[in-house]
Amino acid sequence: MTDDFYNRWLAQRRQELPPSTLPDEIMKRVGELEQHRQATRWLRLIQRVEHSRVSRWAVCGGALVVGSLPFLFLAYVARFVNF
Amino acid sequence: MGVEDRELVRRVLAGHTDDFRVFVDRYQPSIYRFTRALLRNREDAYDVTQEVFLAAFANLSSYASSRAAFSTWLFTIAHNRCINLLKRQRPALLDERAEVEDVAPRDALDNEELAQQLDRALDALPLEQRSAFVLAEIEELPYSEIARIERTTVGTVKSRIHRAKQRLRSLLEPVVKELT
Repeated sequence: MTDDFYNRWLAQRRQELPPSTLPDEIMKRVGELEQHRQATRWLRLIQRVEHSRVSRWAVCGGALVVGSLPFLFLAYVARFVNF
Repeated sequence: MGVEDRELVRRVLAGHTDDFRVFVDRYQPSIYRFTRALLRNREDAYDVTQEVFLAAFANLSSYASSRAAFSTWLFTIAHNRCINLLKRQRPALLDERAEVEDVAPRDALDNEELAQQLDRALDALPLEQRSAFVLAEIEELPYSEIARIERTTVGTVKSRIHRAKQRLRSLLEPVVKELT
């Protein structure tokens, strides 16, 4: 095989281009994937919490703190009330 | 080259999805050529190239620029996808060598036909030789990157490329000698 012919063939192969619709098609599917991701963001967050013990403790601790706030408020206010 | 890959990855991860287009424009011709050479089919190559970029986008947060260039990462995904597809479609053909037609007589061959004959000879190479040859000779990647993509050693890559060239030469040298 002559180097000349071989090099021309390689150059020809290097210049081969995909169909012109390919980049748009890829970006269209990327956009769809991103939309789907955003739609399922909450679901994925819940799944992450389910899979991690630390996250579960953090969420439960947070809920406990928030839930106890009214009682703490009442306990604080009760100090100023004479029965 | 414009914006560096690392910076682009950071921007896409920060929510600038449209910036992913730069990656697509930059690398889709190479990935398409590679998948087409491996799959020997334009339609499959078109689909797999899309899947490669989708997989890259979906797993962009796991890409570590310190470990490999972005192009190497993409070629690795493409390589794996092609092998998986070939295994699924036709497991027996993974080691198959496509038939190369007998070389036509001298007066029937012009340069175009000879190029086609080389294309067919390339298609007839075993998968691992074809993959290494395309990455080295057509995409002009360094051997170390090819070894990373194919998860093998540089020595094995060199050997595959050498055997691929030998086979192409053995198939076509007699014809070219006649022509020259």
